[in-house]
Amino acid sequence: MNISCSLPPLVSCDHVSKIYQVDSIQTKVLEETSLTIESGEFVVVLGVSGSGKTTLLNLVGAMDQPTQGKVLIEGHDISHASEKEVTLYRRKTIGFIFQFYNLFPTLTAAENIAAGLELLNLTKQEIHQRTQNYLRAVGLEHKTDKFPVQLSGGEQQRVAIARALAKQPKIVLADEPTGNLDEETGRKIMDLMRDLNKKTKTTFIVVTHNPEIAKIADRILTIHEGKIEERVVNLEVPRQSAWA
Amino acid sequence: MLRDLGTIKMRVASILITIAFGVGLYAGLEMGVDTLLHTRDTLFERMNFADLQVQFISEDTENISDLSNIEGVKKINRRLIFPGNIQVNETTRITGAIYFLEESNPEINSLEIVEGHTLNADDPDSFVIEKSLAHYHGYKIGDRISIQVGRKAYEGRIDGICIAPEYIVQSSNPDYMVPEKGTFGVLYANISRVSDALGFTMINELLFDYKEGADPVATQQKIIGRLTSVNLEKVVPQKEHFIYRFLQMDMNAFKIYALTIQLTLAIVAFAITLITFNRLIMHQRQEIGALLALGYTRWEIIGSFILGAIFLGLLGGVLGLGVTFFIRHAFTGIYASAMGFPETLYVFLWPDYLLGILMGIGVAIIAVTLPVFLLLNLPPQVIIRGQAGSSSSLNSWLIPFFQWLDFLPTNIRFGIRNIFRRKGLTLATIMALALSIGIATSYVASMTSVNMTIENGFNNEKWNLTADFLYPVYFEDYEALQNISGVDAMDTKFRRYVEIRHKDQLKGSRMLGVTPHGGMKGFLLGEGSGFDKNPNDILLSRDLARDLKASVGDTVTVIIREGEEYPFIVSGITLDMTLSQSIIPFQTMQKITNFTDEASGLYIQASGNLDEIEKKLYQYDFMGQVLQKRGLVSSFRSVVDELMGIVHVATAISLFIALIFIFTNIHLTIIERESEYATLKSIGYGRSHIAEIIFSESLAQGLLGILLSLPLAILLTSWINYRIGIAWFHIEDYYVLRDFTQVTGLALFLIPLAAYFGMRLIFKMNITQSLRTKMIE
Repeated sequence: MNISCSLPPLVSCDHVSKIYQVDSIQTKVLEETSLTIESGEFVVVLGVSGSGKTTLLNLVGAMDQPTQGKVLIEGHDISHASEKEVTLYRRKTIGFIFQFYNLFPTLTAAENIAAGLELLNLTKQEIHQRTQNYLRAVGLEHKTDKFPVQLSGGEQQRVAIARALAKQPKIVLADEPTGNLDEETGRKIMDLMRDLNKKTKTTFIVVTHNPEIAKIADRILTIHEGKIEERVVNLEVPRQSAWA
Repeated sequence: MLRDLGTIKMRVASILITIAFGVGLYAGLEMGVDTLLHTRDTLFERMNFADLQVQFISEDTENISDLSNIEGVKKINRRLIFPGNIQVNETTRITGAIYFLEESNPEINSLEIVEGHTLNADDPDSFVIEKSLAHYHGYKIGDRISIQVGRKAYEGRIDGICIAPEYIVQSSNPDYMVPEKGTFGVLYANISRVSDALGFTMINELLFDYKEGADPVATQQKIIGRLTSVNLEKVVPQKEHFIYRFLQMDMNAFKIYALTIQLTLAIVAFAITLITFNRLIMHQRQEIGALLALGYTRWEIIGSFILGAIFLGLLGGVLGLGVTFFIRHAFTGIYASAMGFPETLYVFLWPDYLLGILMGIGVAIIAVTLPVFLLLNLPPQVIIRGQAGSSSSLNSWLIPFFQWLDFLPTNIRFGIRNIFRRKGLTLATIMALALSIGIATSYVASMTSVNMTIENGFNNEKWNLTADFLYPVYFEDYEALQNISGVDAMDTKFRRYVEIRHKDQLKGSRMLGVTPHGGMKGFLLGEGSGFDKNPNDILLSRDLARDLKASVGDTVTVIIREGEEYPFIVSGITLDMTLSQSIIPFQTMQKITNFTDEASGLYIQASGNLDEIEKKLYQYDFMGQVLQKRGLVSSFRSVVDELMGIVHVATAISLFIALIFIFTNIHLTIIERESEYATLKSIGYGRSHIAEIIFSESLAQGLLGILLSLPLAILLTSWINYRIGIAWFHIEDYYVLRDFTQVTGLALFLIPLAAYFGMRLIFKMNITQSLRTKMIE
């Protein structure tokens, strides 16, 4: 859905295609895909394995470059930006949440969060304060000095969420954030993200293959064989827990 | 397994290089030693090196007993030898000797002409010179050359340049075991030149060639039994000859040094191969678990890995052929050059090479079987998923240490903490690094120890000039030397060849009579108390004591000549740089040799211009040879400097293996942590931040390795010195800061270099792929 307003949309994909080539074999993952996402939205991208949803996420996160088309963030083309610009973009604008949490095992929960903050020219005091605030926000204020191996899967994913959000990015990209968790924990994680989205007005783009999760989204984008086929506007539906 | 190897080319390459170097080092060093021994033996055989050399005070051939029909003797050659000195240019005079020969080219100790022709028997002016005079002093065919023997000068025309078996390695002073290239000039001339002037033929040396199968001991006894009419000075069987023994002992020292290099580098190579294979197997854990889950038996899986190991061992061995040639040439070439060998005859020994390959395969099999076997003892599901907390578990004792690092920036803290993630692997890595650096340091430190032992040995000597007379000289004749301007003090010595018997052992020895207390000759005592008041005290050099199986307190018999035997009590074993030397008090020496008022040489302390004093000493008729201590020291230094080439090659190899290891290690670490670096990139870490993490991790490991290498280097140096001391002379341990900083400095430079190449992999990696497919372990 395109929302018309005077400012450029937060995320805009303009006829984006992505083709992977291994030796002589070409695989088209995304095909002429266009979409826009506004600030503060909670968007879920649904699709089966190999449908191209993670590729879309990677393109928005400037982790990858499109073969064709443009990815615009607030009107700026990031798909052809320099490495330095891309690094700064990831540092300031994007927060990532991964299926396997990807916490650094030799850093404590607090340090994992601080790892992202130390790049932002904050004072030690500010880093400490923000780390504690976000640990509190994800309910782990009592696990500050625990190392990842000392945390459960759900707790690790909470730390990962705190790490992504503590930078106060404009966009949080979550790739199958519940894929490695049991149903109950997964539900809690999704509720937490939704809650934080409401509180912080941070835009969330969540990729999943689980339709149940999609229920809590503002919008659901379904992706099939590289094409966004269906756009479901969920604005009228009262926001509720996916498992409610 | 073989297909898998194709997908991990870098790691396979590092294993292949390590095995190739292991095989090459073993086979190359073995062939190096064999090449040197083969060169010596071939040259001796080609030039028919004498089975026995007998020297005596010059005698008319008419007065020498009949030597025909001695059982076991095939041929005899007669020679007259005069020591002297040659003014090779305006400023340099070297010691030398002129050999007067009865044939233009003798059958025993024959001369191999490399330029020109043999002696012209009809021309008394015809000279042949030994190669080093041409090589080091520029003499050419047709030049005139002169040797000063006392006051008499023998001058002639150079008709030929030759190699002589006695001078494969040159030393101007057999008191010290040091080759001095170009410091001894040898001339060959027709004996008629002396005989015509004297009116009779005078000789002072006989060379004997034995029949094949002759008993050398019995034949020697028969010869000595016949030589009753001459005053014997020296009886030297081939294997007791300075050159033969020097080379044999030096080869033994070289073998020990080579073995040390082989052993230490083999340990490093094995450790590195084991670690690399272990990491490789851990990386393939899921595939191994899957095979097990599919129903393959443990032994089928182990078998496939062994097959891969055999393939890698074999391929590494084949690649090791090039390394073998390089090592053989590098080590042998440097050694032969340091010793001044006239030529080097290289050998290639298939058994050594094949044994090297077998060892390479063996190392690969053990290195691969051990980790696979340990892994296969786990259930398949554990193999696939990994043991909970096994890879990243952190001991509670580490947490305070981690917290202590809080003052560091996150990147550096992260890098340093990373080394504790796989403690066993980290420990093995640090140990392998420490071993590589420690070994390289110990090679350098050991050579410094040799150098400093030699220098300090000479510093113990109070003389700075040593003079050897042509024959025993009366006190009233040599006392005038004291009046030479610059000569501060003199101390007499008496040298002669004797035989020493202890129980059933009989050995030849160069016996030296010196002032026992307060004299100028210093000696380094290894055992015993040295000279007491007993005039029958004797000090034996360590090799001689070992050959005679004599210890301090034992009684040995000194045989001056047939029927003249004297008992002596061993009061000390010396560790000096000498071979087969025995030392007794000067007065006792005079008494047993019946030269009660004479000396055969002097130690001189001088403070004036030594070159001037040397010139004046040569003006005396009886003066045979004058040597300056500083000349000997500088010869030692130059030999050690050249031998340092071997050390540098060994050090370079050790560091090269370490570099390969560091490189592979960093490469593997990066592959294993691909998703981690991808995550860092995803949260906004740029190149410089990632570089800081990798550098701090590599340097932290490197620094720990260097730290651990220091005690290892000290222990290894001491061991190498001890091993060299067994074959050579006693080596004191000296540890100089420079030796440590040289190697560790190089390692500190190489570690970031290897890290840099690893870093480039991260910068190029596909982070989306890494984030999708891998989890941080």
